[in-house]
Amino acid sequence: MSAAGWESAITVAELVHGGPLGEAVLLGPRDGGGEVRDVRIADRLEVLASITPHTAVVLTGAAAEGGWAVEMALRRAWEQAAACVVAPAAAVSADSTGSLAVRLGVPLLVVSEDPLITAVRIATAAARPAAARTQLVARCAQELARAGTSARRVVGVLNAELAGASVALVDAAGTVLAGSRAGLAGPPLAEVAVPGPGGEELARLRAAGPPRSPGWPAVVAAVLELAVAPLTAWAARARLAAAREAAFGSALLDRLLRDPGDEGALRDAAALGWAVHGPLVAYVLRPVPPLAPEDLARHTPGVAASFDRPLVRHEDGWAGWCPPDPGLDAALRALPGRLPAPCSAGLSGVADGVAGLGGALADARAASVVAGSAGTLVRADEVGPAQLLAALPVDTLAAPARAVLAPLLAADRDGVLIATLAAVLDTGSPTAAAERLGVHRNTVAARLDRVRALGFDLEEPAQRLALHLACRVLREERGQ
Amino acid sequence: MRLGVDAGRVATKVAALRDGALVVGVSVPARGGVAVSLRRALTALRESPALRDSLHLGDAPGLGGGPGPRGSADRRDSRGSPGSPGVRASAPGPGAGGPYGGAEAVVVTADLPAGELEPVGVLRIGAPAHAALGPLAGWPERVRGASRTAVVRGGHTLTGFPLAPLDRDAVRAFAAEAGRAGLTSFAVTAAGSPTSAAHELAAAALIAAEVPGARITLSYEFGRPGLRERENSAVLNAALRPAAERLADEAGDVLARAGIGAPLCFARNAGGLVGAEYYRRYPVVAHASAAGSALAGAVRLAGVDSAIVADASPREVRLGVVEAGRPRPGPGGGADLPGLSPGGVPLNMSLPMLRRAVLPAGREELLEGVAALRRAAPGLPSLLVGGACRKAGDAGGADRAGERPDVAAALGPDWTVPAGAELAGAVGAAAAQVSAEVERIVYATGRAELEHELADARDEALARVVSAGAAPGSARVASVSRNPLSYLPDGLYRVRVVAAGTTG
Amino acid sequence: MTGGGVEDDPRDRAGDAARANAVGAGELGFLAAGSRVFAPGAADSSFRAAREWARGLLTANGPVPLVDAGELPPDAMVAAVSLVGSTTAFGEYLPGGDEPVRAVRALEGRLGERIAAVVPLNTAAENALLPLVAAASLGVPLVDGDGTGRVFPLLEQTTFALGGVTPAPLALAGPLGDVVVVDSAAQRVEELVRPLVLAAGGWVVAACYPARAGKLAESLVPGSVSRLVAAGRPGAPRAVAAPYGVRVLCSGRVTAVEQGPEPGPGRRLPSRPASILVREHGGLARLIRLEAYNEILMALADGAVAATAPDQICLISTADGTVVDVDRAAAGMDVEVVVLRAAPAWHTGAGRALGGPQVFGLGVPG
Repeated sequence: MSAAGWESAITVAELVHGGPLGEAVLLGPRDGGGEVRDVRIADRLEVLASITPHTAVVLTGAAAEGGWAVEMALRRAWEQAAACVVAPAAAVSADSTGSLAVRLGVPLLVVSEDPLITAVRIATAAARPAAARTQLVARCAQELARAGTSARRVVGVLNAELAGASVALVDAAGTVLAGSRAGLAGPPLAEVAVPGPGGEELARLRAAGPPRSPGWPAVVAAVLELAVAPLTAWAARARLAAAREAAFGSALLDRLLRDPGDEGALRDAAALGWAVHGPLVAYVLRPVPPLAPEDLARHTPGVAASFDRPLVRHEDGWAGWCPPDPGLDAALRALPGRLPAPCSAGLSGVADGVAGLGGALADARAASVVAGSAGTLVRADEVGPAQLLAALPVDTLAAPARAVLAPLLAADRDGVLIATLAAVLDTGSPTAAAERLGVHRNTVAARLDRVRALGFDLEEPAQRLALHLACRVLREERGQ
Repeated sequence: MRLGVDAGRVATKVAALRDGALVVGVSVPARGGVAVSLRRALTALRESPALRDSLHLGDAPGLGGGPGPRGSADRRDSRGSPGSPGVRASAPGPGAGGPYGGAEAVVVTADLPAGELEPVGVLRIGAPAHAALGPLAGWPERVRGASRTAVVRGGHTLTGFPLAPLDRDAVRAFAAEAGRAGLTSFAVTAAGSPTSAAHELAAAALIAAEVPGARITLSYEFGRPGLRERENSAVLNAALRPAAERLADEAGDVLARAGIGAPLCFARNAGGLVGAEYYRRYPVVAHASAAGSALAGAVRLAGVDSAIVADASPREVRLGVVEAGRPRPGPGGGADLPGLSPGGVPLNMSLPMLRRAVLPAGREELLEGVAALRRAAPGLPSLLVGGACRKAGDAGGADRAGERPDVAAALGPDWTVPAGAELAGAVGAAAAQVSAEVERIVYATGRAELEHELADARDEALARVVSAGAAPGSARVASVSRNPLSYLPDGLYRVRVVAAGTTG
Repeated sequence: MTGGGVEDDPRDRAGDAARANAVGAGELGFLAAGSRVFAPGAADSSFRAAREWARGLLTANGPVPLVDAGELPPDAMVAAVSLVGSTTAFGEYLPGGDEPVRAVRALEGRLGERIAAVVPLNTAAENALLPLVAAASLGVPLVDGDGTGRVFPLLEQTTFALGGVTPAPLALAGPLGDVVVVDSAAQRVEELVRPLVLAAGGWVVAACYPARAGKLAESLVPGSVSRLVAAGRPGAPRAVAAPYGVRVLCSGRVTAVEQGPEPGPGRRLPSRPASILVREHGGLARLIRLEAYNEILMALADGAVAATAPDQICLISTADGTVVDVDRAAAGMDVEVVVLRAAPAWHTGAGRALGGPQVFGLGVPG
């Protein structure tokens, strides 16, 4: 894995960020300075007069006697284009000395260990930059192993160890699954694909940040590669658990509906935090348009995760229940925007315990049907005939309606017969229909006679209902 | 509601503040002493339609406390000046104090007249000093003449060891002689008392035994090193106490008669306030407080927290700087505060930094002062307040507008005169909070010992702020500072703790 | 003014000692004001006490003659007089009044001859006034000059020492009646005197550096007293008090004051080190670091040495023009950093060795 730049000179930033001086505090310019080619121990300020550019100056003895000495050393380091100044913590005040380091653009590394040990570390890294970088990669591997198969922890390790770079795990849609949004900013330092358990591309790991040395992007890429395997493992594990939980929840609901006294089911429900006693309300989410069963299954974990109350797969949608709660309405109304598929929602009235759950779910489901369009919530206790009629699936019923009314449609060139028939069925009486249509009552009676003449019997209940529905559907279809 | 009273030499002003904002204020000419003026100002305030409107009282009598006790009414009548304009000859009827029923505190800023300084028995405990540095050196004859002084053996080193045993016989002899001379006010100052007050306390016990009813001020209460300044502060305090007690009595009486049950307080000269009881014992902390009150009031009226302030009285213009609501302290000593230090003797209080000029002659001085303050505190707004802040004829109020110099014209542009500027002193007084401080020298040979001493000083400051009138639950430490003393043994620190709290 | 009416360069005045020929109660105020142009402590109890003491004596005894060292007979014995110890203690344990006389008499006893005149060891604040007090108490003239031209924390840091005069024998008199005579090698004086001063009440008047007038004339900084009298007159420019030149290093705001570590046992210096950080207003907005041990010993501007002892570095408050004591510098103060050039004797190899920053542990590379 020795890509281009792997052997290029190590930089100050690399020394500190995950490098051999990981414990040091870097004061001074934020982008961390340039290459370190040499190291020099300065026990007197005079030493600084003879250093060469790109040298790290480690202050000891009289040269580290106090803030004043460190400031003078910074000044001389600046004059000599040194790479950085390393000073013991006791000699430095972060505020004043740090501001001078910023002002002069000379990185100041404050260390707590013996400066001589620091000098040795720097010398080693400067002499063998590839070895120093390999060390960082090795340490990352160790930390990643410790992080296990949690995406959050894996990306956390990357962000901690690759200090100065921001790493994000992002899906195809650009959603950040873990890590820092800053990982998306600017051109990537490095980017690797994370495949799912089936080999498809699940997400990408992306690192962004300043390119601190020619070798740095290669180091970052090497470390990101190390994270791919644990992330794939995480995806597989997460998917299994989610599928298992989803199936378990919906089976449990079936058990409860079958036998509200099933003690095992009640215990399992309690373990999941589902309410089983006292007043309950049920709610149903119904995909609009309907989803195929395999899509329902696929979306179940996402739907369940998007709501802070129970939601399990139930019939052609998802259902759940909880004790009555004034916040529920608002929560359900806010839900559709977060769902993976568009849904309508229904909410039941209050039921008493699990025994009433079946009825409540049926009410909620009916209400969700009434709600019709995606993003709408209807409460079952607010559903009336008008809403029910309005909820008719016009697309499905249009063709049968045409068939039922075919003779009438053929005879009714200008649509007045249909309109009259609908008005009579809606209002229930020719007189009221005449009023609604703005015609004389006798006109209505005459038109009804023509309808009857075409073979429709308004007094026969089954036919009357079919006619009423057909009228309604056609009117809806025509947008009247 | 809080009432602030600025009892100046020319006018007495009262301001009513609700939630820190000026509701209404009045100004009456100062005549017949602080208490009499206060009574007249309260009457004027009560009758001010603005107060009634703001309190929605209409013409109905208020709900405040009843009239003052009958006995005090008799006392008032016997020594008051019933003929003065504005003074009611009869005791006020029920409900007269109604508008003030909800008052939380009444804060007075007043300068006791220099003529009321009492002679003092001044006892110094320590080695005899050169005559130029002796007790009462530099004091005006009117105080020194009837006073008595003595220097007796005793005192402590700054590290807390006795310099010599206290010469108890000499203390008794001095007390007896002062008592025979009719003195009741005493000031006791021992060398080293900022570290150890033992000899001051012992001397106080001896004096109290010798002179029953003696009012004794101990210098360690003003515990800064610098013996002369501490002694002078103690002497001034002792000299002010009788007048302060009279003022506290009379003002309390006026409030009781006005039906005001709220605590009576006095504004401190260094910012903050103290309760009447504390004032009776330590009047020097509230002496010459008008200047600081005006500075604090100016920023409050202008709705800012920092400003350069010109406080124009008919007598002079005083310039100061307010930062974060508090006057910037001066170099100390108090010599720059007129009326504070008799004869200019040095005192040891942290007083506001002030520059003064008398117009029209001092216009150059004034402008120089303004320039210096703007250099010292760049970028701050400039506020003009005080009884003479508006051009003659502009202002109503009670001040005679006759030959008043035009301060605004002398200062030039860029000066804002906030609404209610004439009442700045009263507003600043009303808005003040209780504060008290402890300053001492501690000798601590280790960190733990120093922490212990600091905790001790904090406790004392908290106790002191409560005794200065703060509600015990509100007392808090506002600042703690400690500085090592150079050229002395390690472990000697000057410690200063400021505590603050709210009344009621 | 005692001199001619021509406004002249203050440098010319450095050697001109005959501006005032006596200091009386009238000149005292000017001298007191002049002594604080470049020294802190205006509001200190100790300074007021010294001034009142001097005023009392001058009012009672009349003016003190001010003489040039060259005017005295060359073999006349002269002693330097100075306050040694804590000014806080001086303000608390007030002088009984006989301290200068007791110290000088004790020194005379050791020397076996009378003192003909006294000379200030330095002329900062109290130390300008105490020699005057001593001269007034003893009834001898005051030599117009001093032994440093500024102030240093250690007794041996004087131009007298540079000129070959030793501080010992010296006599100390404290406020509790103690008198001590110390006779030892110059470099041991400080170590011996410091504990004695503490035991004597925290401060003493020291009579030291006894020398013949002829010898003294070669080593003192001349004209200091009359110069401060001139500098303290109302309206006098502050440069009058800086005969060898003064420059403003920067004008800025104190951003931080850092206390150094507590000194360990056997410390040589009377206070803790401290660093004062100043951010320059406008201009280059440089970061100025001032390193102090009681006195400011070095100024760095962006890490480059901008001034060091033996030149004197002062913080002057923009608010009121007074000198800010190192102990009282605090973040937020607006100040000018001013550098006064030291007397020529200090700008020699021996002068820098005695008064340079390395004496205080600040090793500045050449």
